[in-house]
Amino acid sequence: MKRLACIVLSLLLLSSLVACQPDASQTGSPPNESSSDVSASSDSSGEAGAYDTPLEISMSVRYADQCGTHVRNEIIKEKFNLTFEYVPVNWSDWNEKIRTWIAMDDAPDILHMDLKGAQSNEFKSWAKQGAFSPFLEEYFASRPNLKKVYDESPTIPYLKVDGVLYGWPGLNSYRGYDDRVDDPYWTYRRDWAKAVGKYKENDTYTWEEWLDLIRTVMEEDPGNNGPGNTAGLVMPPWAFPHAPVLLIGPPATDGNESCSYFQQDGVYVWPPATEEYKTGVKITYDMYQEGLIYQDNILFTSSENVDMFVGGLAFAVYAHFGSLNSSSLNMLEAGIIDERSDIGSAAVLAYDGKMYLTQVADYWGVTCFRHDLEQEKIDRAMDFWEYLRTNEGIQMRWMGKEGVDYRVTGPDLYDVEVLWEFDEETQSYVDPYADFKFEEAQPAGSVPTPAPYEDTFRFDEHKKIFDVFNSGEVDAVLKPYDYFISFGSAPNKDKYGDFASIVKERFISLLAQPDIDVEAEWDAFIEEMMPQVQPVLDEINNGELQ
Amino acid sequence: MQVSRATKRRRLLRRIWANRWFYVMLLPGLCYFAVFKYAPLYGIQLAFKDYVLAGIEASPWNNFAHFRYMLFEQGFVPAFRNTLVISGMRILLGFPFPILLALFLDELVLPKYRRTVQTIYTFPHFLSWVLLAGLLQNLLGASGMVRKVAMLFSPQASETWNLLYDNDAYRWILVFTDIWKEAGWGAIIYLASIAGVDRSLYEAATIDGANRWQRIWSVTLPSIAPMIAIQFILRVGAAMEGGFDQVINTYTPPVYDKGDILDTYIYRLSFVRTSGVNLGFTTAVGLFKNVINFILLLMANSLTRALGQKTIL
Repeated sequence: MKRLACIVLSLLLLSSLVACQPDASQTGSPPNESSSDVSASSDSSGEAGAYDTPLEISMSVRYADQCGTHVRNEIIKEKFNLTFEYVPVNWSDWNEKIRTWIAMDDAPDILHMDLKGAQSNEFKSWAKQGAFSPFLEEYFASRPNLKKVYDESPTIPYLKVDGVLYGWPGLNSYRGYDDRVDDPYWTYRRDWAKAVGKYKENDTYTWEEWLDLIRTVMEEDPGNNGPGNTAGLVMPPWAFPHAPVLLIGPPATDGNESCSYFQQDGVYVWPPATEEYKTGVKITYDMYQEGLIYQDNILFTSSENVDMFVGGLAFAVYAHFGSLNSSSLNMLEAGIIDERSDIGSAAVLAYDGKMYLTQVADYWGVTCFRHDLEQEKIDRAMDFWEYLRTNEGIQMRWMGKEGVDYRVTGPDLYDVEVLWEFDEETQSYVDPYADFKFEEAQPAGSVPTPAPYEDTFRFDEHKKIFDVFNSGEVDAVLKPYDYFISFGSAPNKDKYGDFASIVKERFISLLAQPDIDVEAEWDAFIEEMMPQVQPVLDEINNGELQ
Repeated sequence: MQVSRATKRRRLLRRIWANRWFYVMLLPGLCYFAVFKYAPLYGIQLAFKDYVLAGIEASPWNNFAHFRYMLFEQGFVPAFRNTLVISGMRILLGFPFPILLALFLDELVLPKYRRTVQTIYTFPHFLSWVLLAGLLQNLLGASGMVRKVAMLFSPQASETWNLLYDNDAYRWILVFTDIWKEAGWGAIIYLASIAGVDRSLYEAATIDGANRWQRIWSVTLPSIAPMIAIQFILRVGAAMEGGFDQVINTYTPPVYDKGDILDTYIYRLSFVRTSGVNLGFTTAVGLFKNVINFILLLMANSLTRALGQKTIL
């Protein structure tokens, strides 16, 4: 018995060691050996029989547990003989995993990453070291939809290294009036504003009116949450603490993810070192200390902001409009609100009386091919993406299977009849696939919105912000996105970036300290930082950025 | 009589063969240490190189650049200081606690009560810091229970009172929550030690007129002193491990000043900062940490030896 136990134990250990070895299929060539010499050869028509060999491609995806069992996966399997192995990532560990995979040469076949311009130095360094297989120009010759993106997206040149493209941007879907403007904004309890008698008919508030409204709601507690239990402003971790003042105010910043350098009087400056940024910090500090900004927002790690708002515990939430449809329906169902219009978007003018919107890059997420990925897999993946940008592909992504979920009624994209059940009570179609995700479609970019089945509540609320912005009745300022500064490369900038995470840390740290002279503290912080920041500024101002 | 080398070798081989199954049982453990503890030592050279994706071998040496940079990186010195202070507090306050707990538990006479108390004390060990961090946030956060209770008594004072974001309070929260979580588990080894003490010693002490405290002081403590010494050496030898799980799950930027330890600092440098990961630098910090750990281990070992206790080296 003892002998048997020993042998079994030893064998188990040996087998686990063997299991730790890298996958043989991923050890074909060293990182600096690319597969670029293989030309693209594919049939992007998606005709049955064009793909004889079944292929499985591994890919980093969020919500991995909800992927792979959708009717759309059956369609892709049928059409492209293609399945996916989902390698899970979460918001909290995404960068961590990408960096570890790259360092260990253990990346999945398709690496989908949350790449910001300010992080592009790392991406470029990896590309230069041969971590990725390039997107060759010939790949686009037979794929007109991808070719259009390749030719027109302003991001494409910035994902090239030495003239070769290594990353593919998943383009956002814009609706014309909102070209490249960041989607999140304030959604608030219109019913509470009415209940305290401070509602403005067009949902447009001056800065003073907005603060007064938050203050009054927290004091009068129209939601009956109990004294001190109604939060004022809540926001997601990435937008804290910038959203209440800085993101909707004059400083040139698009969130904690980037406080990218910008031009002021012909010279590039670092936003945190400007007077308007300091003013923004001071106002944010006062709001936090007063409790208008929910103080435990510091602890948020995920979607607690939306949870609190939907739960009727917060007055206003800074969030993507995408969640507004489901949030409003959930609140309606739970009896938190009586009708959907009890919540809505608020157009808030900044403390200087102007209305600011921030432009961002045109993509969300960048996709790279593993350096030794077989050409067959590259071709198949690109055919798949090409298809996803056709009318048929978009309709499939919107709804599912033709004949089952929708019927095509004409040649145009929106010429479809939705076959889903219609719920009279909520006046909306019931999505039978609401619990499934199709993350493998991310590289192809977002689908146009609204989908034919979708109610337009969130879009109406979203558009209203732009209607106010473009009305001519407010002093509207668009904060532009500077691709060159964001993606540009120079030794010090590559080494230090824009110091965004350090700024965020210090900003939050100051917020939580009562009774301090926050402006003096900020000045001291800037003084402490400038020896590191100045070399980066010098590079930019001396034209060394490439 | 001189025994030849060949004879010695034959005897050794015979002994090994006679105990061959014990050696086979040892094999998985040896493999574990070889693969997960010794093989990674190869990667230490990264501390002296600029890492490139082509591999450690291909990475160029950098003339101690990471170590020079370490001294100037603004977060390093505070993180080093915090690690030492927090570990020191844990040793001073946390190390004696399981011993005291074990002594008190041993003195409980009702077995059922004793088992219940021990289970209550041991249970928190099985909860993860992720879970406990949530609990702490609900208790100590700005909208937590403690503050709300405080507001009932003193609305003015509690307005600016926020324990979880308070630099001065944070270290104490770390130490006391760690004691609360681990003391019961840590007491088990001392309880086992106490169980091994010869009962006749207690009987003799009782006959000599010793009361409970005197029995603890004169019989129990000297009997478990070797175990305490070894635990102390191991604890001090891991002083630079400041409790990554606990800190990463409970700290926030407002308490970085007093709560950021070397492990969390390395983590942030590697995975949070947008300027990208620097594996060489983080390896250098890790190496530095381990060298300090090793020095502390030697010091604790010497101290224990000087006190006449058993040591591990």
